[in-house]
Parts: sequence; C-alpha cells; structure tokens
Amino acid sequence: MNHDIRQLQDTGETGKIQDTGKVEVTFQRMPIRTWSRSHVNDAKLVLQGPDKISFPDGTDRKADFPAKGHPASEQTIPEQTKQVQNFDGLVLGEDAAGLFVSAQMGAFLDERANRRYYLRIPDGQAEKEPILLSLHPDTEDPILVDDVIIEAKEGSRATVILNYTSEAGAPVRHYGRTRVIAHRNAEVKLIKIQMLNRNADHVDAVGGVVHEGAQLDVILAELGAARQTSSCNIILEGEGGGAKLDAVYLGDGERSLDMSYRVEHRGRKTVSHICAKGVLMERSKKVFRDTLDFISGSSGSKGREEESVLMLSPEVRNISVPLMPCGEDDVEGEHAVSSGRPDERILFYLASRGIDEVEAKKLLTEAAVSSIVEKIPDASIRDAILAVMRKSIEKGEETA
Amino acid sequence: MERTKIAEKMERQRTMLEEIDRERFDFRDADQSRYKTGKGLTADIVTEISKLKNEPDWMLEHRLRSLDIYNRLPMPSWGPPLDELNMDEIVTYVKPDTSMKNDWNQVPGYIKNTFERLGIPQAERESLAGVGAQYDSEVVYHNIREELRKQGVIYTDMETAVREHEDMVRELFMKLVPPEDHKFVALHGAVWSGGSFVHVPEGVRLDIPLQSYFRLNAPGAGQFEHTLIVVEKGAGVHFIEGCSAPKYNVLNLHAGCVELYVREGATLRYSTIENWSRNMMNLNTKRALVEKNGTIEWISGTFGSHITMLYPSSILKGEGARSTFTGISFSGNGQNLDTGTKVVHAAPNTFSTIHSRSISKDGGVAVYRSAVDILPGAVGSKSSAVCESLMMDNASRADTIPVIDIRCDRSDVGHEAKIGRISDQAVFYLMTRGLTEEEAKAMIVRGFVEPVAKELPLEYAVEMNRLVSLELEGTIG
Repeated sequence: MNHDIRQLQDTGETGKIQDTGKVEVTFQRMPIRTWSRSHVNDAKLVLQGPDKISFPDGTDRKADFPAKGHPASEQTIPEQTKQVQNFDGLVLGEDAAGLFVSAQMGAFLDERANRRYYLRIPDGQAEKEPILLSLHPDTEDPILVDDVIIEAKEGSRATVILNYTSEAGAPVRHYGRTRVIAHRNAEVKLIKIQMLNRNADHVDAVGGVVHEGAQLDVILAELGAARQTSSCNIILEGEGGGAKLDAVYLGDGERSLDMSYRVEHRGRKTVSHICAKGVLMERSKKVFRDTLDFISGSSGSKGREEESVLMLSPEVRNISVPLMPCGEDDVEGEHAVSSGRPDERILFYLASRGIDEVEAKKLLTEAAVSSIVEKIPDASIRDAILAVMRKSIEKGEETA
Repeated sequence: MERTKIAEKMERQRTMLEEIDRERFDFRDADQSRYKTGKGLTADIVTEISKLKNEPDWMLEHRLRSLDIYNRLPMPSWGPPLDELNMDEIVTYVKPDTSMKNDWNQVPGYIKNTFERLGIPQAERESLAGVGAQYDSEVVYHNIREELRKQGVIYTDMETAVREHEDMVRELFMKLVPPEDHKFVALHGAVWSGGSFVHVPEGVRLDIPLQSYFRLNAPGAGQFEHTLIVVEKGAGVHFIEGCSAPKYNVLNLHAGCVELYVREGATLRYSTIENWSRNMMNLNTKRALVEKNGTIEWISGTFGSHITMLYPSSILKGEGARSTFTGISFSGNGQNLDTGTKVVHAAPNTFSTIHSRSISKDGGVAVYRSAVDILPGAVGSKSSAVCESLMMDNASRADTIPVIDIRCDRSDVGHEAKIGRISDQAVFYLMTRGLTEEEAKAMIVRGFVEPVAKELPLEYAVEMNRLVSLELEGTIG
C-alpha cells in the first residue's frame, strides 16, 4: 500500500512535489464530466507537507511528523481502537475513498499519516456506546494527517464519531481519510464533525464498502476551515445493503466548500438516501455534488438524493450538481434540489411575535439542520454544532 | 386475443416499421450535386466557399478567423465520445444542382420529390405561413405568404440575407454564439452554408408557423446551416425546424447554429423535430437572447442521429424575460443522445421552466445535461426544472447531469428528477381493464411523452406520436 511520494514526480502524473513538502494536486470531483465553464469538474489544491509551516508571527515551525512506520504522538484512544504504525497485512479490498481524490492524495496519506487508527468490531459484537475519537491540531502540532479504517465484522454494530476541532487562529491543516468496511449484516454509523478554525485547510475523503444486508449511515458536518474539500463514496456491494448519507454544511465569511458525495448501487435491492442541508452566508462559496449511480445489475434498488440550501446573503455563491447516472432499468431514483432565502412571510410572522431578524435567522437555520443534527448521539457535539451556527449568524449580521 | 395472434400482429407491425421508416426518411437520391469541395478543412476550402457565394470581405474574414479558432480549440473533454469524427473525411460544402426557387414546380424533380415524400409542400399548403427547404448545403426553395410580405416580414435564406440585409446580418451574425464558444461553433463559422433568416417587425404577430426543413442527401458530407431570427418589440412567431437524412455507412456531420433575438415583449416559439439517420453526428448549437418581458419557448424532439450534443440556451437579459424548454429524446440501439438546456437569468424577475423527458432502449444512451445560472442582481427570479427518464431495458443508459449555479439569494430555484422503468402496477392495472401487456406499455409511454406532444402543432404531434409508437414496436413484445 505504501508509496514513496517522491517517486510520483518521475511518473509523469500531475502534481508537483516541492522541497517544502507541498504537493499540488488536481482532484477530479465529478463521476461524469460536464461543461468546463461550469467549473465543477475539478478541484485544485495544495497538500502542505510536513517540513514546516509558517505562522503569522513570522516564525517557521517544524510539524511533529513521525518517521514513516512509527506511531504518532500518544493520546487516549478507546479500547476498540488500535493505533497502528501502518496498515500492512490488512486486506482492505476496494478503495472507495479514492474516487474523488487523486492518486497523490492516497500516496500522501500512505506516506505522511501521523495518526493511523484501525477499529475492528468483531463478529456479532454490538457496541452500545459511540466510539469517539477527538482530533485537535494546534500550534504545537499543526498538521494532522489521519488515516482511519473501520472494519465491522459480520453482524456487528457500532457508532464511530470523529470530531475535529482546533483553537481559533492557528493555521492548522487537516488531511484525512476514513475507510469503512461493513461486512455482512453489520450496522455502522460514522459521524464526522469538522469544526476547525477559520484559518484551517481541510481535505477529507470517506469511503465505504457495504456488503450483503449491511447498513452504513454516515453523517458529515462541515462547519469550519477556510477551505474545505471533502468527499464520500459508498459502494453498496452486496444484495440488500443500505446507506444513508446526511450532510450539514455551513458557509460564512470568505469560506470555500467543495463537496462530492456519491452512493453506488451495485448489488440487487440496495437502498440509499442522500440528504444535505446547508446554510450559506456572507461571501461564502459552495459546490455540492451528490450522485446516485445505479450500475447495471442493481435491480430492485431505490435511491433518493435531496439538498436544500438556505441562502442568507446576496453575495453567496451556491452551486449544486445532483447527478444520477443509471444503467439499470429496474430501479427507482429521484433527486430534488431547492434553494432560496427565508420566506419573507415567515420572517414577518416571527417579527410580529417579537423575534428580531437575527434571532429569526437562527431559528430558521436550526430548523433547517435539526433533522440531521438530532441524529448525532452526543449532546455536547449537537450543542457545539448549533452554537457554531448561531455564532456565525451573529457575526455575519455584525459585519453585514 | 391469443398470444400467437398478438405475436403475429407485433411481427407485422415491426415489419411495417422498417418499411415505413425506410420509405419515409431513409430513402436517398443519387448524388447529383453541381459542385462539392474536397474532403477536409483548409483555408483554401473556406475561401472557396466564400467566393462561390460571392460574399462580402467581412464574411470571408469571419470564416478565416473561425477556422483559426477551430484549429486552436481542443475537442470537448466531456460528453459522448467523438473519436469517430474525422474532419479529413468530411465534405463541408455540397451545392445541389439548382438555385433557390420560390415555386416548387421550378425545383428539380428529384429534389421536389424528396420534399414531397417528407410532406413539406403539403404542409405549406395546409398549415404554414412560409417554408424554406435546404438540400445539402444550399436552400433550394423559399417562399412566404404574400400577406406576411406586405406586413414587412422577412423570411429568406441566409445567403440572400447577407446580400440584401447586410447591415443587420453583420451586426448580429455569430455575435450571440461567437466562434470562440466551442470547437464546433468555430467549425460552423468557417464553413456555414444555407439556413434561414427571419425578421418579424415590431408588433406583427404571425398566427401560423414558418418552417425550415433541412435535408442532407450526400454521403460523408456536413451540413452547417445558420438560422438567424429577430423578433422585434411586441412581435410573435412560431418557427419550426425539421431535419432528416438517408442512412449511409459513412459518418455525416451536422453542426448548425441558431441565433434568436427576442426583443422587448416579443414571443418566439422554436420547435424542432429532429430525425437524422443513425450515421449522423449532430453537434448543434442554439441560443436565444431574450429582452424585457420577452418569451422564448423551446420545443425539442430528438429521435435520430448516432450522436447528438444539443443544449438550446436562453439568456434572459431583460427584466421579466421568460423561457420554457420542453424536450423529449428517444434513444435506441447505437445512439448516444446528449441533450438538455442552459438558462442564464441575468435580470430581475426572470422565469424559466424546464421539462425534459427521455426514453432509452436497446442499448441506447440518453443523457440529460443542463445548466441553470442565476446571476447576481437577478432578484425575484424563479427557475423550475423537472426531468424524467424512462428506461425500457438494462442494456440502456439514462444519465442526468444538471448544474445549478445560484449567485442571488433572492431567487427561487427548484430541480427534480426521476428515473425508472414502466411501473408493473400500472401495466397490471391496465391489463385488468382488458389491454394486452404491449398495449398497456405503449399507452403508458404515450402518456409519458404527452407533455411534449401537446406543445406541438397537431400534425407534428401526430408525427411525433407515430415515431414513438414505431420505435416502441421494435421493443415491446
């Protein structure tokens, strides 16, 4: 699995490795390309390597990167989780996470991960409590490169929460990959909460392979970082497999959000639902691509994708790309997108009840995302998400 | 009815399908062209076309500039595969053995016979205000009713327009769709020939449609007609475009261009029933600029061709401008029909509706591709899109690829899409009412295309329903 990242330079692949450890990459973000002038096909970004990172005070600090194959810095981890040096010896099968990121990103993670976790839920075991991993890059350890594998064996059940936070102001970077294998009849809930600070850079890829009768539910909350590039690709491999993918996102300030989420129906009688709820304000820009892909042979499958966007500023840019490629006739697929600002009549009604516009926007925002946030089984995280949204609206109103 | 009798009946209908299809559209005339350029695309060929047409210098300059752009632009990096297209094998200009007439009796017999078999003169007599008929690269017939001429309506071929209405043409020609837009528009700019020019003066509303019909007869040839329509303030017209060609074993190319200017308060309905043969690569570009309170209505039926890339576009420039797009595509064996629409909301209170339906069968690929842009300042604009795809078997494909780009919060945008096959429950219900399975499925499919059919003039709706029925009879049973 491991590649020598510097060898890529010689292969002629796009991407440039510089002495500073930066890798310039282009991610293909669409399973099917469309007009170039729509600017939705690709995302160009720089992966900051481990060598150093510049701080506003003019100092350069070397990031705390372990040498290849050594464990990262110590932290308390749940019993079920093994922090590992590498994933050698694991039979992972298809890499679903690799669809929307380049080979360089995969190599970068293989080479540079400073947190590697392997969660294995044994056959038939049901984890009653969520497994929580808190990841917190800071000024001392500003670059987080995490690589997580969750393997739920036959008939097992587990909920895994990955919570990413950082202190305000630190120019941290997060590059991550989470791979889930849900074996026969397993049930996995993966919840990833990204609340990094407004200077952060965040690149994340989730991949899931769901076998016969298994269920994978993913909640992705993208609430922070100056620039975020995230993806999730779930393959419903086995008959009767299911996936729910819920996404909540928040755009404020000058933030840029780039998301590509997809469910591939490969097995017969598979069921999926992608549901995204977003709030955009100030001068934020967002591209949200969601795809239901019905492969020939996925007969009897059903899928639905929906996105609703609340636009709270005249300067936001809101791009939606709901894709539905289909190679099987015996399926039912639907998608729906709606967007707009809060209904003036609702705002007027709330005003007539003594609720000012800022409070009204908070209420409407909470109402918009609550159906997803309520699914998160950790009250403190739920409160933190809503607090971030409320704070963002207050800040937005102050600067408007 | 016993199953064997049904089978016999279906077999009989399938045979009829092939006979009718071949008789109606796939017949061919011997190549009796007066002149044709060599294969390929060079500055010499482009200059030769311009000289043959005795064009003004600015048009030659435009052609050569377009050729230069064509040579510089890459092939599209998206959409259906275009590897089969080899411009070195395409004859870009084929002049038929006649000049343009306004009396069918003066058109050479074999060409007149072609259009008779396509039903054009009969349609002209019964239901059209004017007709243009293009055969290969040149318009061979153009006529308009006298009462419209008296009202100042201009309906002529593009070559005549370049000569007789030069100022207007020079101001508007390929300004809405510039050659820089994409490679095949650049190609069109270099070798365009034929097409129609329509000018409807202020306040004039035509009650019955104009129609241009484009027939490509020569094998291995390209057709590059240019349609330019200007509907002045408060005026209205319905323009119908039809296209067909006989089937050959070599690839033919169609890269037409349509530019529509809809002025303040004007209305233009642009209907197309396209039934190119299955050796045609149809890479067409259509765009409308709609000013204040103007309306563009696109009705688009795509049935033929090997590969189609066609996305009629509306730029809603003036406040209160509207566009509607109603499209149907029917993709069968060997066909890749990549169709859809684009709308740009560039002014306040603009409205767009998109209603697209596609059917794919026998390994056909139907793609719905769209882009809806709400620009900053398009306050109060609304856009609604509904896209439905029906798959008849799992050897086929139906892909939906919309992009919605909203830069104005005070707008209302909705998009819905559905994909699936004919409901077993619906078929079962109809069978309990005495229909056979085949009849039930055919009825459901006719219902599926009905929203498009009802937007067409009666005779074209009948034609479209007949095409759908014929295509279905090859599938069901």
